[in-house]
Amino acid sequence: MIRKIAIKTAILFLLLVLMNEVYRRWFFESDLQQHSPVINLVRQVPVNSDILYVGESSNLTYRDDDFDKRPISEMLGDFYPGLVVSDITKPAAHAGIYKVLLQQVPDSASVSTVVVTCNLRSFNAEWIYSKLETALQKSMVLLHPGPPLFNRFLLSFKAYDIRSDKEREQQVLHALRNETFDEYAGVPYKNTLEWKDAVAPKWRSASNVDEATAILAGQYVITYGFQIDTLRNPRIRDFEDIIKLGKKRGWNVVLNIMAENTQKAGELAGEELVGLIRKNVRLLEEYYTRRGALVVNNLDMVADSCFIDRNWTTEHYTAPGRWKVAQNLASHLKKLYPEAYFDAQPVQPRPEAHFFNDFEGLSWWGRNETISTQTAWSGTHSSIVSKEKPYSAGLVLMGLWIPDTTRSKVRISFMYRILGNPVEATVVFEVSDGSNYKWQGVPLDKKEPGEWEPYTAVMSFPFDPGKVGKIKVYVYNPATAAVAVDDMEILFY
Amino acid sequence: MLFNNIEFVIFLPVVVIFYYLLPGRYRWILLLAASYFFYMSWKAEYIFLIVGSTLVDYFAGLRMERLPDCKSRRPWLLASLFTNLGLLFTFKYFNFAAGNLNQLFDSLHLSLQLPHSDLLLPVGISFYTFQTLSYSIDVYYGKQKAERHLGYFALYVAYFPQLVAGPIERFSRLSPQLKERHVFTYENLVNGLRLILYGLFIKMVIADNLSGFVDKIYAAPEQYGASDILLGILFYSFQIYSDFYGYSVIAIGSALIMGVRIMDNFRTPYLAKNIAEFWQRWHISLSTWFRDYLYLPLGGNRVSSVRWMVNILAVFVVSGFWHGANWTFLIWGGLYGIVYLIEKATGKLVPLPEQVKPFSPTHLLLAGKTFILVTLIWVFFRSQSLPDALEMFRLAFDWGRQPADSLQISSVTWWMMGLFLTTDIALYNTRFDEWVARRNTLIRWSIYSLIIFCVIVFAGVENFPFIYFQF
Repeated sequence: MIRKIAIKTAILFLLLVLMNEVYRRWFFESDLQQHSPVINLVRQVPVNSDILYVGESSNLTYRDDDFDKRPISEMLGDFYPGLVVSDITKPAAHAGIYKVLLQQVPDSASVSTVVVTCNLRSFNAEWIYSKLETALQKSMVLLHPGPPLFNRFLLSFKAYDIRSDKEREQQVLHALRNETFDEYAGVPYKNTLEWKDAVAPKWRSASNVDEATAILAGQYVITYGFQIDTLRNPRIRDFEDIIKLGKKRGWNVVLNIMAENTQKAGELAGEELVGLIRKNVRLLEEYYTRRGALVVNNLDMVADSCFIDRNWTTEHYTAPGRWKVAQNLASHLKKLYPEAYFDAQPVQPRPEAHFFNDFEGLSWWGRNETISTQTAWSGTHSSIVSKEKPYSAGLVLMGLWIPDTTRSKVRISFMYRILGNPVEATVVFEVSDGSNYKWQGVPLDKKEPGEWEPYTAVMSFPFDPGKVGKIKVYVYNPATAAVAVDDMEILFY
Repeated sequence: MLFNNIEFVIFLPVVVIFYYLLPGRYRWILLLAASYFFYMSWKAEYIFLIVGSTLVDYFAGLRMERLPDCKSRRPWLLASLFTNLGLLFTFKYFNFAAGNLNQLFDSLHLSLQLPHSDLLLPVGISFYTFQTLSYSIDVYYGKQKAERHLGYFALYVAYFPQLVAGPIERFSRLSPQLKERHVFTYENLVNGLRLILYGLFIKMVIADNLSGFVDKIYAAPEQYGASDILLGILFYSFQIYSDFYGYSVIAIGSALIMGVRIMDNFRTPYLAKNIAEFWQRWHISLSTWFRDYLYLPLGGNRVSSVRWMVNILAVFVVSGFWHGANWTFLIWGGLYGIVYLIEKATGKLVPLPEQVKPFSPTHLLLAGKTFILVTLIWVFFRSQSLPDALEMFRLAFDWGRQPADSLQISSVTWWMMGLFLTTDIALYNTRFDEWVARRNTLIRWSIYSLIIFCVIVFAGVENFPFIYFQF
């Protein structure tokens, strides 16, 4: 009987090898596109890249009134005009995700340096046990090293950390209650929750402070009031693995510790919190420097006024903030590329009336997350909009950035292609006078799937030239079926 | 731990290996520990409910056996009923009862308000409570000797393959098998694996892929056109069938590897000629439970016609209520009762031949009629509330609307559905392991390869727990 089982097992093994080949040839790619589209971020990395910047939303988040809406990675390129700087940016990602993505970078790529975003918040319980984690982990399964069929088996049998939102909340609460501070932390509270409960009421009792401030003060403690345990914190090992991978692949690994709003943290939660933030950052600097990484500390680089989110704790910076981080990073990279450094200056607003975007690179226009290689009229990229991401890459600028004489009308022209049925796409011209928004929309001519079509619309400014504030031009499509937009040209006159 | 999760793929072989390595007299310890571990992977503290229910029924059984007649045994039976139905009421029906009573108080302008319970429904509570109740009732009537070994009794209550969603086994059938010192046989291993493979296919490839479409339609039917809604209603028929059938087949296969034969729970129900036959083919372990412990004690068909009709309606309504604490389940059960009675009445007026040849035009016509009825009645089962169910029907037959969205169903889904329907028809009145064993080696291995490939490559990737876990 044992012999019989052994023979059948061997046959089964051979069949699985065959199935793996069938799967790899005919099914794997469509599965990747469906379940792990993040792979496209890696594929977009040019093979001649010298510096690869890996990050999350801190890289590409901008404020509408930023003239320069480019991500940090692109600003970094200004300092090294002779080098190719590319990026892999995945919002809400962390080192565990970067690790898997970096494993996918082909050997043929000429990358010599990998800059990895090291976000202090990604070490806290809220991020480690985030509700987004299940979906993120799921999207990584097909990318693991190993035969594609085995990875698909793991995906089918849910071999990743599946937890409901409620379970995630319980995990966070458990960590906040049970992860304590030692003497080094110098915090007079038993755990983060106790600390939060001590801070928020102080603000509530202050007569001139609203509830939102008290909530924010508590949130600062929840976000930063933790002590990194190098033995148990999963992020520690993730970054270590990236450094090991870097050594294996011959990359210089740079850990770019992001700026946090220490000014606000001090104001709202006290210097104890700022002290703990600094201790954690120092620990990371020392820990990873010992392991051979170049660590760049941006902690205090960005002033409070340059943080975009005023009511939450994030690393989203306005253009001057992103520039500061890029500048500091660039100055540290001089150690690796002393000859290539150029003392770049920030882009200044200049009155202009004509704008064009072929969506081939991340531009300062904004909403770059819709840019895809799925189809294109010119080049390889276009902006694709559907229910998931209904606003196309479009122009967002302040009225004072266009000449006074050109604030009467706008001509919007682009190429578009309907990719499914039905679409409800509209070209939108949105203008504010500082307090009111006026919105004009013109539907696309065609509604049926087909080839690329030209489109042109002319609309008038709803306010006097002197009153024009923020201007937005984009395509809006809330339908499930997608529409692709390319070569957008906007002329104010 | 779900049958279609990686944990079970590791758990089952480990249990099976140790099961056969251990001497027979110690196996119950392994199986009981494995069963409790299996259950505790959901919510560890709820294991106390199973242990409590086990202890009460174990001691009630012992006490009842020592007493001479039903009258003197009654307090112990009531203790068992009170414990098991009390657990069910507390965890499953309390909020339903409180909500309806609060509405009643409001309408009577009374200031009384019962609180809402935040207790999570323990997985499989309806299954194991009914399983232990059948034991207590059998001991009460003297049909079953009380079990003296607490460990074996606890294992009967918690045996992991069928713990959380059945089949609901009788003590007289399952317990002797759990005590038997099974030897490892190649035949049991292969048949068990065949069943598990087929169960995984219909759960992971069919049910899990359909559930995405069904969830969309039931979540926002107003977004979709009439044809999509009808498709969603149709898909739910196949989703719930493949989901529950898949679970049952995996349970049967898992037990079979260890030499334990669990009863079949499904026999191609959508080819039933009428509702009576449908319930002989759908969730057989529950239907027979209600027949033996409710319908027959109520008098069965040896009563007046009116009383019989009342009995039929009562059984179906209670069966509906067993599924869930919602008016939709009561209506779902009640509708089956009504259709059953109508079919009985029309059967007398227009008698059909005694034997309808399988797949003859008469059979197909009758099966089509039954399937349409069952599919429409499922709408009440799936909807969150009665108004939602009625809205589904209204929208499903409103052909004049402009839908805001449409279902995008991939060709792979249609191919898989076709494959499932083909196998289901081929398996009419037979089981997959028996059917496949009759094929020659080449066909057998082709079937294995196809199913393995489909399970790995076309399985739905969202985590949809088995539908019947919520009951």
